[in-house]
Amino acid sequence: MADQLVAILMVLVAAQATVLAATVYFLRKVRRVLRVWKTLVEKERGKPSKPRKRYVVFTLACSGNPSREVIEKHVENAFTTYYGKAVLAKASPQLIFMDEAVRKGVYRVSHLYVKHLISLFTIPLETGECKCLIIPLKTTGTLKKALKIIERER
Amino acid sequence: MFTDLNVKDCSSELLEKAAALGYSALACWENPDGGGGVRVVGKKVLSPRSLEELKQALAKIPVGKTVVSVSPRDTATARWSAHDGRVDTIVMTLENIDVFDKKQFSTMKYYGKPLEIWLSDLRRAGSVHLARYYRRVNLALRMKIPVVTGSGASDWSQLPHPRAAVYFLTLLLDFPEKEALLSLTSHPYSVVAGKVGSSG
Repeated sequence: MADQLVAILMVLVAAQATVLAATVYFLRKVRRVLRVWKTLVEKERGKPSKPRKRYVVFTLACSGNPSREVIEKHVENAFTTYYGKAVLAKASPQLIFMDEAVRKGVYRVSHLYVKHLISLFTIPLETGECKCLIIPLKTTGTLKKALKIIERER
Repeated sequence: MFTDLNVKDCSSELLEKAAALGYSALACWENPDGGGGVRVVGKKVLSPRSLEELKQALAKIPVGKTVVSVSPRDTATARWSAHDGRVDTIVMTLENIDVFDKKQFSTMKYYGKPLEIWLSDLRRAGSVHLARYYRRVNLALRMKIPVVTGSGASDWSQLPHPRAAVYFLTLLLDFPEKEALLSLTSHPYSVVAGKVGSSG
């Protein structure tokens, strides 16, 4: 009798857990659909979309060892030359993480200007004897994920 | 299958980097020996001053081994190179941009000749030149002429990442993203595919 009760209880708990998991999953899906729908409606009405941050993970192929400042300066100059100061201000690219030992870093930029930033990686970085090629690895939505990518490749 | 149709010097270091960036074929001005898993063919860029000079230069080049590109300086040379079967691509640079008018593009379309542009030119162009370049390239795209993009890299550090190059073309010249991708993949590869080269 007791065994049967325990079995029934276990089945009930398992069923409830499944229902709960399914509800959470379903609600997440619904929320995502609603968010996309809201964005589309806002776009239709001409409302500017909320700028979100994106994290561009990159690696450097260099003949020398450029400092963080050199890379920041290079990207800023390239941005101003090709897209102008206004776009630079809106994109606000920031080098938020740089591991000079493994030559990898993370750039933070507005989601609307990710392509602008990556396109500037075609401009070779040449300072004195140091020649560098910036190679984009991955674009993520959180810094945590970006750092995980760097950690994985270390 | 990324292909760069304009590399100046294919040193072993450059080939190594090209393989790491995802390039599968290169056309090189110098050292077309191959290696590192990248297919390499030779490349000749002719900038003749007259039609006679072009004909003489073309007669000296062995058929089927190198990619022959012509950077025409006058209209007669441009028209001739558009219908000459030995010429693989016609290069538009900042210097010869005036040669490329609607009639030239019509001839190129008729004979299926691709237009080659160089990223190195785009990088050094001022705003006036870039505007003219933009109008010409977009005319070519509207007329459905295959556009081929070369980097013009003389060093490994000048070799762009393909994705960065696609975005660069999309944003600077308003290439549709699909066209920008084709200009780095299938269009240049179809030129290289017919040539005898060394594969690493």
